[in-house]
Amino acid sequence: MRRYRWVMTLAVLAGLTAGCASTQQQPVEIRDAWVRPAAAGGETAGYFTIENHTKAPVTLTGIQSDWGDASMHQTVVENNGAMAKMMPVSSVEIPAVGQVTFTPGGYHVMIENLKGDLAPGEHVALSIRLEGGKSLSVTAVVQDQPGGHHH
Amino acid sequence: MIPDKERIALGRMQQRLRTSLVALLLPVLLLSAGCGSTARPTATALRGVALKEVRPAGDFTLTDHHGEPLQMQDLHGKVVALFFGYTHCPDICPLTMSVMSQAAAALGKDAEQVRFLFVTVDPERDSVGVLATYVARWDQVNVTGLTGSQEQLAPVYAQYNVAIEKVPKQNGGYAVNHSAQTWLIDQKGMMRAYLPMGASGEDLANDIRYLLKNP
Repeated sequence: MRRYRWVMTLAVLAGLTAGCASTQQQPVEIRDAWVRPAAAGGETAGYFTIENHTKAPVTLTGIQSDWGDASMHQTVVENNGAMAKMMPVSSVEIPAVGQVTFTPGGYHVMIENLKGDLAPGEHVALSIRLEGGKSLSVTAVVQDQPGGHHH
Repeated sequence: MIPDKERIALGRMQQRLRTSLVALLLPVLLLSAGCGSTARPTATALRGVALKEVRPAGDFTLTDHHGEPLQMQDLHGKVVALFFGYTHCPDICPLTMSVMSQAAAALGKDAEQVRFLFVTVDPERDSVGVLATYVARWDQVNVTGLTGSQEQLAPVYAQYNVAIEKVPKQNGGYAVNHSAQTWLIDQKGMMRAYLPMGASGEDLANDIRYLLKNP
């Protein structure tokens, strides 16, 4: 029996260490950022997941990029798609110990008047402002579909 | 030190464990072998919105992204997936192009029996050349970009209930709010259903398979 207990203990330990891999977790984290390809002068949309590990809500108040004029938008679909609109958004709240995903057909970052061609594989730095004056930096990968890069 | 009795019990337990492992794994192996041989999934029902009154899809002739005329009636014999959008559309239209792309990949050889159409709601900016560059970005699907003059396009928008709202932007440009369903037309040219915004590539592939099987 003792041997099995050992195996169990090891399994539990392994599980625990895996869970603790990110001990240096930031209070607010942005991951899986990507931007669609587009040509200079045009516009594109960017997406990411923002995680709030703190016990208080965090508010996103704006986005900046050196590549062009960035702003937050939300696609609003009426009647199953009878009308799809892009509405400007001035703030997005991330609930306490929660997350919000910017995703195609929902919240997105719009970058207009692009200063250069965004070809697949290119990297776009985004600066995300939080209420209270802090801002977070994230590098988005230019690609046509979500996914493709993992941590 | 383990007493003898316990050691015997342990030995039995190990054996039992081995037997039960085999008993557990065997069906799993058999099942996964079965999965390998299953053919493509069958579509038993539409996932999109079926039209209560099936009606002939409106006919039109527009210019495709090669500069050639394309008439809707000539597509009889194929299932048509029809979407209205514009190339400067940053969010919804690339999303639909990706959905079509995923559907084509899921359909495999059946995709040859489908025409994917993208009709512009922004003929001012979407020239033949612009459309050609745009549709080429999704290399897993053969989407035909279509444009025309305002006079040619207006009746097409009316036929397919396409609402269009030009929204000026501060930088002098504009965005175009527009209807974003994907219309599904069967091989006889009948409008059968539409996929709402938010449907997946798998949903579109399913509904195309359904129309191919239930003409």
